[in-house]
Amino acid sequence: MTRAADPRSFLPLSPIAFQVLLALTDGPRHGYGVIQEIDTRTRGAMRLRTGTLYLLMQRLVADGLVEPVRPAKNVPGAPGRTPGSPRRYYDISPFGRAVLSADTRRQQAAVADARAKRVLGRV
Amino acid sequence: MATSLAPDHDRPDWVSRFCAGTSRLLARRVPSIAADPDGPDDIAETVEAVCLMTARRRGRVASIRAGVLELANLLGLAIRRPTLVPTPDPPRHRRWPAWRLSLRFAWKRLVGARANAAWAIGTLALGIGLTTSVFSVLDSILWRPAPYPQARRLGELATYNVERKFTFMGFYAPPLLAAWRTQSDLFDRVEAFDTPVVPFEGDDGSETVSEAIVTPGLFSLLGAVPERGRLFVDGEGRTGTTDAVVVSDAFWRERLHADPDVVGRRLMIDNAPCHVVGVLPASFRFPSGGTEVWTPFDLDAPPRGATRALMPLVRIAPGRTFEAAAIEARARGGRIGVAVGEPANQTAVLYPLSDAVGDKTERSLWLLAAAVSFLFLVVAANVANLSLARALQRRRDLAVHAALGASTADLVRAAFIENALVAAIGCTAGTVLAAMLTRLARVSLPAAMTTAAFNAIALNGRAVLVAIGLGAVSAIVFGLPMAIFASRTSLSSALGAQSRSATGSRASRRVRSLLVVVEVAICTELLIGAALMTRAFVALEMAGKGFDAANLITVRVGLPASGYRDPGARRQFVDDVLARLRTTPGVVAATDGGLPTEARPIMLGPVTIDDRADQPTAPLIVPVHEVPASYFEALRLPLVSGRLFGPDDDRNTVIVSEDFARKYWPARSAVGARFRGANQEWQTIVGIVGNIRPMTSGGWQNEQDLYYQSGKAPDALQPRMSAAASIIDYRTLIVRAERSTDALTSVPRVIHTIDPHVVIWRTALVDRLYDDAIARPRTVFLLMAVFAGVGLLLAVAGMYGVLSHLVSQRLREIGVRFALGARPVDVGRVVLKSGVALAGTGLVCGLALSVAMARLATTLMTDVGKPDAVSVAIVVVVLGATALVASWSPALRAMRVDPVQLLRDE
Repeated sequence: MTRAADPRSFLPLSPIAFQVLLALTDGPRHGYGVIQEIDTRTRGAMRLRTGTLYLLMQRLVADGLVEPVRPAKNVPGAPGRTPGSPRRYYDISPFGRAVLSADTRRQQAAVADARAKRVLGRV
Repeated sequence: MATSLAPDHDRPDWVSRFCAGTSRLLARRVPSIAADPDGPDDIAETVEAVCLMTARRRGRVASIRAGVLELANLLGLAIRRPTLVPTPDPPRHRRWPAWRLSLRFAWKRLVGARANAAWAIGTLALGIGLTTSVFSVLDSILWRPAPYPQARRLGELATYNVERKFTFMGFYAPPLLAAWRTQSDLFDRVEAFDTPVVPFEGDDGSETVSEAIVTPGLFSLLGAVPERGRLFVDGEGRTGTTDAVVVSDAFWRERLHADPDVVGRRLMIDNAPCHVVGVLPASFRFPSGGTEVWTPFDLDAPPRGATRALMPLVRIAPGRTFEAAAIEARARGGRIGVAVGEPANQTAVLYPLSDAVGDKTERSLWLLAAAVSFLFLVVAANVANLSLARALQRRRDLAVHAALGASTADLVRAAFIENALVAAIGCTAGTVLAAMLTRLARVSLPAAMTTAAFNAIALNGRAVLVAIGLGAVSAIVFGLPMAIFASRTSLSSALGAQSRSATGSRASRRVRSLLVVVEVAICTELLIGAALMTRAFVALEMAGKGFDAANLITVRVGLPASGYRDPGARRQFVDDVLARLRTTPGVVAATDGGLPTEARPIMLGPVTIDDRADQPTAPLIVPVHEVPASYFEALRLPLVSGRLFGPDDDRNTVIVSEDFARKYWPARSAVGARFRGANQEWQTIVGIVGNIRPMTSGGWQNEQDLYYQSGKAPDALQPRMSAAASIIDYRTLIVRAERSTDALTSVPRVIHTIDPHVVIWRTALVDRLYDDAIARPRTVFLLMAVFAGVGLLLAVAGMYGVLSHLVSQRLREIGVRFALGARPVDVGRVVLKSGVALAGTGLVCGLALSVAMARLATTLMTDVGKPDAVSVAIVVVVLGATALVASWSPALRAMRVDPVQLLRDE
């Protein structure tokens, strides 16, 4: 990662990038695992297409937010490459985690403002 | 070949296989995917898995639909051919390392709150500057070891009288010193010195200089290195080699006008020709900072005719501790002394070299250290308060940061960097200020406090470390908790419910109030100290002297041995000078007999009073003056009863002070009464004169003085000069002039017209001498007053800040009060009450603190007495007034709130 160390320079994250990073917080996943997790969590409200995901992953990897993990013995939770298993897993990097939490706080503050203005009605 | 991600029982059907194969082909048409060797296969695997899982969950039709959508997505990409575009580089400043970024933000925030920041930095600089300079002075005078090699092994030998149990310094004769030199197992070096004041014939006639007569090895023992020329070599200081002299840097600059060819220059010191062999650097201050010339004296072969008693300086032999050496020196002292003919009732005692500074100076310095420490606490509380105020001002800013994703840690780090920046700038400015103040202290502290110290007062590395430490403490211990506190409350109010009476602001107001209470409490301590000092000092300044010192000058002259060995000649000289002076224009009166406070105390022993012959008093030591009859008139020292001296009075006629008369003849007039000391004839009192206040004391104590007529005083008053001394006697002339400044120049001229060879020792205004004598208490008083003043100013500023904050927080409440019919004066009263409550709480805490610290105060302030009702009352009035001043403007602001305008703004 050759980027600036300030996570806030990546804010705001696109909704898809936010969801992808969120999907990876539980551990490394392959592309289909990411699509599935987002689909389940959003109850189908956000459905990613493989090509879009692939290009987004490429960008997240280039930005240092996500690290591709080759299935190998030293990757905890990732099975070794065997016939029938995917070629590549993706994992969120520590920097990616910092960016994700910064964006979460940003949204939290925005929600607090909106709530204060009673956008959600009397809560 | 594609591999399946689906479980075994989900065999790839034709839909998934078709979609996987097609997606691989399409993916190869997308450049950024094709660039990755595994890319198309990864895509194909994922698409196959999507189709298979959709088929399993939602059936074949859904699977076909999903596959079509996947292929459509890839087709779109293949047509658009997007290239990988990473997030654009952030702006330049965002690419800086995090700390630099934070520093930049911190700077921007400080510039934004520049009034607050400037006040914080200024306060801190003042606190650090004052504390560091006082530390520097203490360190130079008290703590730093003497700047000599192996200084901890150096000591001074004194004499202890075993029978009468008293110690005296110096007076070691050369044979005794030579005997100590043989004790090499105890002391590996024994050197010695003496410190006479001798005449020096300069460009302006005879003056006096402070000389140190030293053994040649003393310089090497102390590691002295000459600035110019050389120091003494072994063998100098014997008959024929005593004419070498080493001069101080100050002597070379001031009296020899920094002559570049000073080495070899011939001088007349102590009426003997000598030549300069070297100049010592300004940093060499032995035996004292005031020593101007050093001459050699060889113990083994003293110059002929020189009977000199010296002060031994020894170095303890390696392998012995100081304590062990002291015990051994005392054990051997008696035997060594007896062997060279010293009295058998004496032995030696060893003192460390560092004990040279007087008790009073030490106590004064500790008092200042305590005061400046208190002041620094006030400064720290103020800095903490300002840090909190700054953070609270920035609540919105902090909330925005939080909204942009900053965590509590980010906010705290930013706050820390901001406080560190304030501390760093304050610290730098404080160090510069400390350097200036230290330089000021070097020239303005009274000589009585500084000359005895071996280290010159200077700001050194230790002091700079102290300054940095103070800065760090203020940033970390005082600034940071406030910053964290403010960040937390800001964050919670930014992220939580938005209430007008948010707990955060109430809590922060409480913390700020607490800090002000602390400031006021500490300030109370300082004020009590300052009030006591002021009262003691005013008493010292206002106390009458007992005589009229206005336009009175005193001239001390040294009469050279050549020509004045005969007492008659000395008397004649004085009479001639006085006669000439009395006819000099501008001179009102002239007399001799010394300054009233310079009388030599003599031991009368138990005194027998005529009418109580069977009840002798305890042994008396009283100041005895030898004066002519004109003395009392010239000084305007009032005659209380009886008469002054007449020409027919004999040796047993005496005039006494009022206190002496009152003490021993309480019931009747002492005029005509008689008394006698041990070994004395009956003394008859012919007159009683007023008391004279001693120079260094603040008040009148028991001023018992005796006055004898010139030439008829007891033998004990006659000078005991050694036969070798070049000055045989000193006389002090006192002149009252119309204009004392003119007399200061004319009187020495008149004396030199009578005899140009007498040495003018000192010409001074009597008033100035009294002032100089209280220079130490005056300095302490001034510094205490400055510290207390600064502390008070800071407390006022803190109080003002808190009250302003209070008013701005309660604007809405004030508006409502007005709307409900409150009068402005009621609202103002609320604010004033808050201010007075803050000051009152602080005052009470401060008084409680002073009770708790009474013991420390008693130890340090012996000169000034204990805190009493008057001092406390002064402090209460001062603090009450300042509380009102600090509350006034916020109260006025509250009173001028317009409720209509306020509601419109809302």
